Amino acid sequence: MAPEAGKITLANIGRENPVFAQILGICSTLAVTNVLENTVVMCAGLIFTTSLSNTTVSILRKWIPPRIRMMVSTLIIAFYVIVVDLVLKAYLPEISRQLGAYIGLIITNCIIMGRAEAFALNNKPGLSFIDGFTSGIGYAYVLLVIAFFRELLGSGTVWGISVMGDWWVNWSIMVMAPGAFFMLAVFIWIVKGMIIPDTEEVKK
Amino acid sequence: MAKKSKTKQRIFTIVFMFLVSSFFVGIVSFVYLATKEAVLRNESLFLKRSVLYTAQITVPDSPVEVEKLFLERVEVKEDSAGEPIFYDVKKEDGQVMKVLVSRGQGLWGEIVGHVGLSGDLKNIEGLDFVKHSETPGLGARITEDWFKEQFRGKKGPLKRVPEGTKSDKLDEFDAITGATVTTKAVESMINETIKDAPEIIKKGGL
Repeated sequence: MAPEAGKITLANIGRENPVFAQILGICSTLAVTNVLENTVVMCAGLIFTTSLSNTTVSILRKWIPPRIRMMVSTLIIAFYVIVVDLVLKAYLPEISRQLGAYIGLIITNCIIMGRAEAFALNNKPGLSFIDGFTSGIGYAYVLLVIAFFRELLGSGTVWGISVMGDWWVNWSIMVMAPGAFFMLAVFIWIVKGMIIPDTEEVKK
Repeated sequence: MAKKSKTKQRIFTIVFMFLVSSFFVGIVSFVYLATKEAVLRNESLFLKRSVLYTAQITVPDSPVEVEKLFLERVEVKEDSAGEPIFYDVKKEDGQVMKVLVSRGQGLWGEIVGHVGLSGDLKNIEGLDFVKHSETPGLGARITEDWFKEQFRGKKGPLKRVPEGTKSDKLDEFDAITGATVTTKAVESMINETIKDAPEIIKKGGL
């Protein structure tokens, strides 16, 4: 299991990264990355939910009738997200208030559904957990990089602490959703153009 | 499963979905009931903190102290449905001021805030927001301290001036750049509240 786990991890973080290779989870990439703090909580919630929903789907995979597999996956995902939401409301009210709607948005994150559908339904629980977890990590670090630059350019701050000084004029567009499109495109451009060589051309 | 008849498969599908749903919904209900009290307590504590903050009373950290101070200083006036509409707050110097619940329409949804007015309903003593769904980094900056604190001691009706003006005129406040709709909403929330205050107070919360 160990070499396989390593392979999955590497793929999810690098070549098959859910955000910049599979272009999944873009909705939340646009929505939460304007302030670093929100991004971190969103990522933590996503990592938690993908790992556990992947594991649960994988445990049930032999009994789930193929025809209703999407319904079952959605149910399981929604279950974990609601639990996260309630626990935050009860024990971390400050964070819950700040995130508000974002927690509910985790349910609609395509990465979770995608991993349940593509991986957990065909693999053992242990591997599925690792796949879910590393997919979450792959998602998280891309978002954190984007959020860092958006907050820096859009508000002149990092983690709410002012770093740019008074001379800096905030780029309001970076705080709004279009700013995320620019940042994401630049990120994909850099990663695909420089770090990971293009494999698609070889196939032709 | 391939050998099962079609009918059996269909029945299995329905039974399976039913069982799985019941199982997960059961756990969620349990978690909901287990956290319900804590959630309600957090919400009421949050409101109490906000009322005290608006009235410029130093808010203690411990929940017990907040409850105690609130009981001592504040009298809640509710409407017939039991929703608070304003609070009578006794200040440190013995004077009574009013904290009114104020509602407005922001860019994405309702904004609910507390507007603190002096006893004669003329001066703004404080402002706080308890609910909003504005854009983080733009409209949501209304909850930042510099924005809320600038209202203390101002006199309505207010009008907004560009962010960074740091106006010390009594009827002006600094808006937030890139959040015009939100700032307008706040402006009209405060102005409406000041205008309607005498009538609201007269009704005395039924």
